[in-house]
Amino acid sequence: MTWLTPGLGALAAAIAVPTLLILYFLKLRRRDVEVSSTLLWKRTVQDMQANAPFQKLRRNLLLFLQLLVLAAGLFALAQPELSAESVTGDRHVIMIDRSASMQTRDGNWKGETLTRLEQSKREALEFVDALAEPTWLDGVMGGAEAGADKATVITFDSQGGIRQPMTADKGLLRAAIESIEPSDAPTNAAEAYRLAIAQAPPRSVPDRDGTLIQLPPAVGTVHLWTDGKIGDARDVVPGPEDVVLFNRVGSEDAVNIGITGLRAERSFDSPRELSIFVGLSSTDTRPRTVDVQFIVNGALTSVRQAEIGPAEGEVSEGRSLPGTGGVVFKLDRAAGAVVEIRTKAADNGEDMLANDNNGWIVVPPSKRLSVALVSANDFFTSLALEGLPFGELTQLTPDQFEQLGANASQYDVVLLDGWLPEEALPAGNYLVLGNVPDGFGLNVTGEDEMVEIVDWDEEHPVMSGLELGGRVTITRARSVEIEQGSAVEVLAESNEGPVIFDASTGRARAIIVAFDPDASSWPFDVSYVVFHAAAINALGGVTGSASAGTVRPGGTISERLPVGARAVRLAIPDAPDVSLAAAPDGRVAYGPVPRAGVYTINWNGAAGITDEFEDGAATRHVAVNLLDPEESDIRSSAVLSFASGEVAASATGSADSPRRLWPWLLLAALAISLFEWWIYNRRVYL
Amino acid sequence: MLRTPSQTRPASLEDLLDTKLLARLDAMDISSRKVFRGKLKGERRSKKRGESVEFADHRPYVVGDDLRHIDWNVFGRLDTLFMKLFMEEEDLSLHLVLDCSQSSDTGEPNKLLFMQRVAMALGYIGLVKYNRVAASTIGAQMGDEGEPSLVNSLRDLRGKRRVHDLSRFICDIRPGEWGEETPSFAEACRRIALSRRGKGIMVLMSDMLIKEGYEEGLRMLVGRGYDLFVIQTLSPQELDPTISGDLRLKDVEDGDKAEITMSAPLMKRYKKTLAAYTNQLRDFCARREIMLVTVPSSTEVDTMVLDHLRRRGVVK
Repeated sequence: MTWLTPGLGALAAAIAVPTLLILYFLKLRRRDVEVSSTLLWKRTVQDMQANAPFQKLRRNLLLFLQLLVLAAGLFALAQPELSAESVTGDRHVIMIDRSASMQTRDGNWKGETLTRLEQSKREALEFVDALAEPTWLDGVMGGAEAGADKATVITFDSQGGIRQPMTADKGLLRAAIESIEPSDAPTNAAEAYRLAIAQAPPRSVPDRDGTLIQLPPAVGTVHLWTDGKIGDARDVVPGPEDVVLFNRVGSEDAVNIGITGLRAERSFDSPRELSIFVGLSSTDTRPRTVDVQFIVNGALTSVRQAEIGPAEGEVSEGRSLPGTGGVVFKLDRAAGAVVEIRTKAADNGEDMLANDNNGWIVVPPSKRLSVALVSANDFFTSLALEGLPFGELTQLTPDQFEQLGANASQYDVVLLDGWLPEEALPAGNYLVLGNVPDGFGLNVTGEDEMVEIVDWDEEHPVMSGLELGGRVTITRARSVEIEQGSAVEVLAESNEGPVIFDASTGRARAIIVAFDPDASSWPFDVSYVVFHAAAINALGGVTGSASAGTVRPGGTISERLPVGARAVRLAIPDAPDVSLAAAPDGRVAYGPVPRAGVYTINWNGAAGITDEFEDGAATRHVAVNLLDPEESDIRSSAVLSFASGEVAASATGSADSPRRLWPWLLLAALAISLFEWWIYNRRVYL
Repeated sequence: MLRTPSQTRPASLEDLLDTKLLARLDAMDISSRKVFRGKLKGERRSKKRGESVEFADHRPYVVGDDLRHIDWNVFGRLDTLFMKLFMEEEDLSLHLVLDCSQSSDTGEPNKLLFMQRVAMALGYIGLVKYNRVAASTIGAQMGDEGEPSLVNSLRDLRGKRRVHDLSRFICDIRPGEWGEETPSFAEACRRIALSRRGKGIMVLMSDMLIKEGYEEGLRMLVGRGYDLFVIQTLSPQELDPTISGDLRLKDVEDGDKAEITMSAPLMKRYKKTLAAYTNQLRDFCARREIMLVTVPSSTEVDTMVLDHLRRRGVVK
């Protein structure tokens, strides 16, 4: 049995029953007295009645009803209007932090110990129960829910999400709150706050000329349940009329030990040697000792004890810097591996947050790329490639390359420098310099002279870390037009148009530099070598150093599978597999990933250079790690520093909402007048 | 106002009037503003020239005159027949009427007892002075076992010997148990007026709180030319009620109910109404030459008779 509005029912009962009893008691118990004659008394009372102004109207129910009807008619004739603001209920925004640190088990709800998120949910449910219900008055004054409090439910971890748009339906609000699941993601509240603003109704006021001036939307009262560890609190911009109530959960001396850094590297000289660096932090004020387990492909390989220093030093407002420690594991292994790190307190100390005690890292195999350079005669390019640590670098003439035909895919990456085969490129990965091959959705429309590279995609793994602005001047550049609908990514743009592309035909993938590097100043810049290395690694599927933590909970897994991958499935820890659709260029994406762990992508087709075959299917592992020092520092903070100022935690942490009393006062007034009417009739009744 | 709890009824003359008062009453007489012709020669000067020892005048004889009253001395001197006229001394008819409805049996002191005493005192005076005394009750029952009847009368008492008859009659009076059907005051008055012989003084004792109206009844009584005195007797509780709270007032006569919530304004209002009622009654009486005396039942009988009634000329 569900009671949607138990509060109202109880309230009505609490008012009606005592009222009835009071009326019952007030009903006059008259004492019988015998008198010689009632003659004079009747005359007296009749005199009094005759003097009362409403004597004629007394007990005339019909007239009373007719007056009511007449009053209603007159009111209707006057066409009363009430501005929306004056009758609408309060707007509340329930924002609940569900980030990793909210899983700390130091929440307290009526003596019960549970996670901070659970505590927040219970408090929010209690708050929803306390919201004003729609009353019968609202039905009269426009809209069944006009006078009721409305609320929206928004959760946030690394991203914000609306769980329930603005509604007065408590059932929906309760269901939305109850459905909130914890996540392992770090905390970002700015997006959630923008979602709250987006739900606020637009407001405007007319100025003197009558034109409307837009006002900032009034979000209403924001009830924020969080432990205060909000990474982007400075980006949250509450409006001047917004009220933010910070309901703090968790204690400020919560103790946690967590993994905050994880990285694997192969030795440059001997690629078989693998070093795993584990960074640890502790919020304990005492030095702590933890056992760090090193698990390779599911098998416990070694356990090391790590010492973590105490949290000390003053950062701000009496907060100390978390103590740090670390441990390094060495492994002699050429093949790739999935490495898991687990920490466990070795000294019976506390560790309140469990989900930062695990870390995963996918170590790529120590494979090296085989690269073919097809060049008529290029001095710069071969010079640039010679210094790079490729497994194999083969120089081919155009004739030799044409003889290879379909066997060109034996090389991981083929670099076509200033030359293109007459036919379309066979399957494989290409770095094309100084030409625009056909079939990639690019058309050369003309030539530009003396252009400069002004913009480049720093997010792309090839271009990240490059500094091209003002350094590369191109004497002769092709102006290239991108066909509509083609999956071409522009990596760099000159002041005249795009010049470097990442494109794919479905069989072949190419990074295309449309201008001839020889006709530019680029080869003289250090970025030229870095670009080559990055482009070849990217095309070959090598992600550089074997560091973990590129994907975080709440983020997106975005992988480039070899071209032609089919039946792509993603295995998610503790959840059913999902199948993904690969784009023509082999891209797959999944997100946001809710939990930390190892995600496994399987597909049918060719494997990338670092991929493995398992059960006949190509397999790639992606590690998703929290690795966030902010989240692992679970000491809840008492103050939120927003862009507009600081918000201190509410004293009690409870969520009292101001109740509007006027409908009840009105009802009381009505009740009193009815009571008076009754008294009047009783008093003069004979 | 309230029904007198366990009222003790007078049993004899001594219960009604003490001997000291009786001695003082012996010296008094009933008086009337009008001088009526009596039926028997009495101790009263009559308007009628008659046959008493006190000579008044002569008049010429006409056929049919009583030959015994011819003044033979004047005939001898003047040879004309003259009749000797004497001041006739007449008796006075005194009719005592007591309103014995249930409402009279209320108050502290009891209104009925007060009226019985006053009636006895007046009746005693009348009997001692050889007047003709009659007594009637309205709505009474005679004795504890009697049936209530609209009018009970005791007639034609004369002389001191009949004092005990009168006192027995008065002591026998009980307020009639009429139930819902109340005796009609006007009807009772009509019967009393019709049954009355001769003319004289009538003293009506009542609280005059009569729902049907006192006007018609009083008109009946006064219409035959009686000299009517009305002694309106109200209990102190009626004059100044001491009740308070939320009450359902029950009329002892007809059971009629009035719900009131006693308050200072209501009390003020009641007194105003009472005064207005009494004034109305007084005006009514004044226009018809009815003498009205309003007294509380707490008045002493000797004060009542020796002071109030004497001052108003009922007794002398």
